[in-house]
Amino acid sequence: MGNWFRASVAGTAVTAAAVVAIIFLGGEPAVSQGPAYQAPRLPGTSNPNLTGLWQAFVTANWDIQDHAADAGPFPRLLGVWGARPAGQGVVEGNEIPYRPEALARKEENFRNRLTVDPDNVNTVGDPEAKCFMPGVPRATYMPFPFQIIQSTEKIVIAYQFANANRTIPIGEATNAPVDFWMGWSNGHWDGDTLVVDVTGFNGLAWFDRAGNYHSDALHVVERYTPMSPDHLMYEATIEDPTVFTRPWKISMPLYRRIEENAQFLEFKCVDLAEEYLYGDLVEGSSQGGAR
Amino acid sequence: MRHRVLAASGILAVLVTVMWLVSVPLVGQTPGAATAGSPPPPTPWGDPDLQGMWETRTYTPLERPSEFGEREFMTTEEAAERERLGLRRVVTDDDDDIADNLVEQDVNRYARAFAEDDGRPGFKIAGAEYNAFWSADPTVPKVSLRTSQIIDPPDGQMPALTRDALTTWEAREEARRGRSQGDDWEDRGLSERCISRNGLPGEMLGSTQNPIKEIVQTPGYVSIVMPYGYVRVIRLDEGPPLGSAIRQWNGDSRGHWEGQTLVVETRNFKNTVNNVVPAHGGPFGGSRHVHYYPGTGEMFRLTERFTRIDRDTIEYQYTIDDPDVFVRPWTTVNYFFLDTWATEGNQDRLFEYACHEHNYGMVNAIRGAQADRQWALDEAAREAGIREAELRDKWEETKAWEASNRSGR
Repeated sequence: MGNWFRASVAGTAVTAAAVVAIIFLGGEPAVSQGPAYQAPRLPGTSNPNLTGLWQAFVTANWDIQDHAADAGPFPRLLGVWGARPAGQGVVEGNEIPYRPEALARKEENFRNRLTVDPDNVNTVGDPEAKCFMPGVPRATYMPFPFQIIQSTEKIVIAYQFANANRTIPIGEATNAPVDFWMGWSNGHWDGDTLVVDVTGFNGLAWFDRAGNYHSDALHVVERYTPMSPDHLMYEATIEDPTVFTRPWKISMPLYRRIEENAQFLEFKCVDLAEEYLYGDLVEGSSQGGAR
Repeated sequence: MRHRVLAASGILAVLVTVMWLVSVPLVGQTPGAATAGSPPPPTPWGDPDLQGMWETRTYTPLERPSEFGEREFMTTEEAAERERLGLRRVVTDDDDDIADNLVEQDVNRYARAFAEDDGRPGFKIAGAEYNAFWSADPTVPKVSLRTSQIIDPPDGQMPALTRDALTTWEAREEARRGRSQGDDWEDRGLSERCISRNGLPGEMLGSTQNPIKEIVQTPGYVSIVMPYGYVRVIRLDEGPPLGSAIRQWNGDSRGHWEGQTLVVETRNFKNTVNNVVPAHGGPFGGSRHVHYYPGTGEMFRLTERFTRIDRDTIEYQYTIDDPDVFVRPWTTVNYFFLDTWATEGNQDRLFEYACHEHNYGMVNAIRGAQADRQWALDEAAREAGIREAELRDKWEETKAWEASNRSGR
């Protein structure tokens, strides 16, 4: 959908583009139209049961916007292991409406994405490399599956990456008591769509390895809509007036991991990140070198 | 015959009275009447309902103190005395008392800063990492009169370690010789590294800081939201077993129902020999917990049994079967209580536990050890001495077990 929209903007008059945009913004996600899919219900409720092991298959973790293939930061060390695949963005219209000063910060983030500063461990460098919780929405499109466990009054989402997780009570919303990496989620059903309203962010998470970021004023509204037995449409509206001039939206399908042996596994990556984080503090570290 | 029936009913009455002794204050309750109604009806899909936020602290010692001999339960008088001695930390549910308690704790904490330094690094701040707010009792913990968590072996003692485990322990000590407390991150314990608080099943029992677990169920799964930054996702279907090459800090859990009881078997634990160095403090992290003993994890099978015995209570049993480490399996029992703070609507979920993300202490520990390496070496040696004594005791236990086993044959 993003591509189609961009092509339209490039190839038509502004008014025509606006009409196209209105059509697409107002419609259902642009997957094959047909009779609305009726997902099986969670027993005891009238809601679809979203329980399962899900995964996004996009390259948004590298960059939520369009990006060409790239050698990555260490071609001499890693060959193509460290390369970035080409990928189409997940941002509607491919444009992130940064405020000018915020755009500069994004570019600085990118330059310092693999910098570790022991005295500013939370404010410099991509949190992913440090095995920090990915935040929302990034947790959704990390290249790792996540498990939804849906009960009648609460939904738990357990992400493999960094063992991040959140509990989403369904019903009356409550205010975030403090700030969190994964925010404070409140859920409700809009027909067959699970809507999760997330606030209470600490502002330390990023959107991707490209340095796209937000502040602690972030407000995310996520929508999970069953499209078939084995896929959900995921949409998230991003609002953060201190960083962006207007709300913007991302979307992508989520696929059920249907392999017979698919299951939630641990990626408790702390011990995999320690050398990266602390290695420079230790001269002649016994942990150094290739493993 | 009549005599025996009387005696038996007498024992039963004592058991009923003491098992559910609710500590002070017994508001509107009499001992033995703590069973708070029947368990709730099954979930809409027919599974027993274990859902809720559960207070999992225990004040029962893992092993039975010698003063209780063969007795599985203590008297209420003995319980009161232990409470007086601070062996059972219990505050009342009176807010003023909690406030006084917190103030007292904080006064003591700050007082350390002015105490005479005993020469140990960190002395003046040890125990002051958190102010009292974080270790406050959110609700009155209920306590049982059990004299030990271990119910099998019947003597209430952890079985002896195998010779293999003791030899592994020695090898690990040898490998640590000459290392300081903070030459690098692996010289710190797993909990300081934010990898594992004290592993499974230890983490299933609460500490004062993070006493609550939340259980959320759906057809085919039981999940346990842990207060240490992860969720236990427990599959209820059969499914192919996880390959033996895949080892995890918390293993791989599969569950099934036996009547009203959720039985969870966990295997595929990580090889902790290579990954765990003794933390400062006691033998393996100052914790007598199984996960810190030098098991390989290869053979470790953990079996947990969750039974909601009334509306407010889950009986929680676990059995450790690790033939590489223990000469025989052993079993404990504990109780989880529905958290009243949550059921009264004050809290609808656990808070995030961002330990690693803000582990500034690790940077400081490594820098500190560099600033005065001799100090860091001395401290490591002091702790090695504590473990050495522990190891000697463990060798004695093993030899005693071998002797009695031989004579028994």
